[in-house]
Amino acid sequence: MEADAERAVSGGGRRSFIVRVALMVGLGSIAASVGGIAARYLYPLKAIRLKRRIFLAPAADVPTGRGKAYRLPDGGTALVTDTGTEIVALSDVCPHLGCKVHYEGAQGRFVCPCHGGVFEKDGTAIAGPPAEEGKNLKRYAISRVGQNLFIDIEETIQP
Amino acid sequence: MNQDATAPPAGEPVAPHGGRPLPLPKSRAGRWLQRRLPIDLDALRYYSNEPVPNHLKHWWWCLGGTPAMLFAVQAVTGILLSFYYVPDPSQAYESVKRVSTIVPFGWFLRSIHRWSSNLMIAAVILHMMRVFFTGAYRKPRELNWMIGIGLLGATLFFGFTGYSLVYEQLSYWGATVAGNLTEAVPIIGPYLARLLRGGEMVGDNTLTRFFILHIGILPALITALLGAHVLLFRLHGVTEFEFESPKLRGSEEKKTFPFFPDHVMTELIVGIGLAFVLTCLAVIFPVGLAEKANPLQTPPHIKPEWYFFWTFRWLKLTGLTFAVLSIGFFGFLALAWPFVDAAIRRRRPASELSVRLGILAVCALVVLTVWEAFATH
Repeated sequence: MEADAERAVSGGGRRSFIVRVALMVGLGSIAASVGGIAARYLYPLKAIRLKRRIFLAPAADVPTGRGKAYRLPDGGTALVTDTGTEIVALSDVCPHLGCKVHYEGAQGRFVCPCHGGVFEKDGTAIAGPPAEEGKNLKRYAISRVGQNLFIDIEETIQP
Repeated sequence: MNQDATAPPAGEPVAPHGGRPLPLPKSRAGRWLQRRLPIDLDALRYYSNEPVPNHLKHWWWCLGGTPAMLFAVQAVTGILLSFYYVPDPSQAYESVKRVSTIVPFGWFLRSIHRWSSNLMIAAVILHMMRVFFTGAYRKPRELNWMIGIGLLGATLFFGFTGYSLVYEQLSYWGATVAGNLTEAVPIIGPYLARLLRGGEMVGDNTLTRFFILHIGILPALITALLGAHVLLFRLHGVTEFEFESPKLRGSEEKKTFPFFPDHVMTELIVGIGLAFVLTCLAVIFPVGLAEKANPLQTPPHIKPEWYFFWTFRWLKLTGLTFAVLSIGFFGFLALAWPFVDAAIRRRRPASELSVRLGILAVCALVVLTVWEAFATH
């Protein structure tokens, strides 16, 4: 009689233990699935990069000795200058922390307003953090066909 | 008298009233946490392990926890959906389309959100029917019934603002019809409609308003009402019934069982079951996307979500003003029912009129809903 009662208690205990473990496994799997799905859902998809060559301007339009800004279809801006020896197209994004540089007519140089980075007309960093880090302005590839200039751009499409 | 005998050692946590030393957990980590989070574990156990009547072991009595769990599902999936949703008429539909077709698992989360909203409304209605037909709303629980009606209203409004955000044809025309219905309310109607829409017609302001209602105001309102609902329920305790069936009554010597962990365990099993059902529904019947809202063309057959079918049918059967006023009166009657029922029972103590009227109301709602579901016009 006593043994029966004891068995019943231990049986109940075992059963309740199994129920608890099953519940933990069930809840744990739900939590893990929700966590995994949420992480995959929130993390952005890989951007698609498309390289293409587009018409920029007639070569005669590019000023000598100062940057002229051309808006590009990828959202960026190319600062195009005829240095006398070549035509260069520079990205206006400072390589230090991504601010936009502008042309300072008085100095004849490109200047970044954020941390004082200074660049030559050909994009070489000569002062401020970019010079210390040895980072020049990014150059776009320019090609000349007859009297017209073409520029190689890389578009980023975020799906 | 030696004061030090009862005083806790310096630096040990003390209960706020009476200065009784708090029982310390056995484990080192437990003691570390207890010192930083001085909770009286005995008191917590006393309140959480409250004995509840045996009838709670039956599934009908788990319907109160079900909408609360589904609300949690709505909160999690809703927060995730809001990461990509743009509440602007020109972009809303495209952003939903993007979530449904491009973003990984977007279709799944959106389907779970939609199915869970439908189940939540169904669970609230079933819970309410259970409370009504067992008379659990009677004195002293009238206030909790009224909070429950508030929760039902908030849940329905949640559903309405939710499907308006998708900005498909139903969203736009549903919002237009709802706005004009509101306008039909005497005296305050036009002001209320203008406030709801943010203007004379559904437009940019409407979508922003519905979005704020859906993700800010209604969740806060439901959380507050739910908190009050559960608090009152725990303060009053579970309603005790006289059952004829021995299965529901339980044995004479053991009429109760502990709320925690026993009943909580049952609720968790329900939760796992819900997760399974929701996943199946989302995978087998993923939510699609209908035609984009077109303010220039009303679709030939427009119907709201199923939980508004009865109002739609009622509107078609009666006139606009009568329908609006009668639905308002029905809502007010539902809210005040505990007092109406008390008045009836004061005159005729053995009256079963409440149950009969309840059955009549349920039948009427079911007939109107089914009628609208199958009718083409």
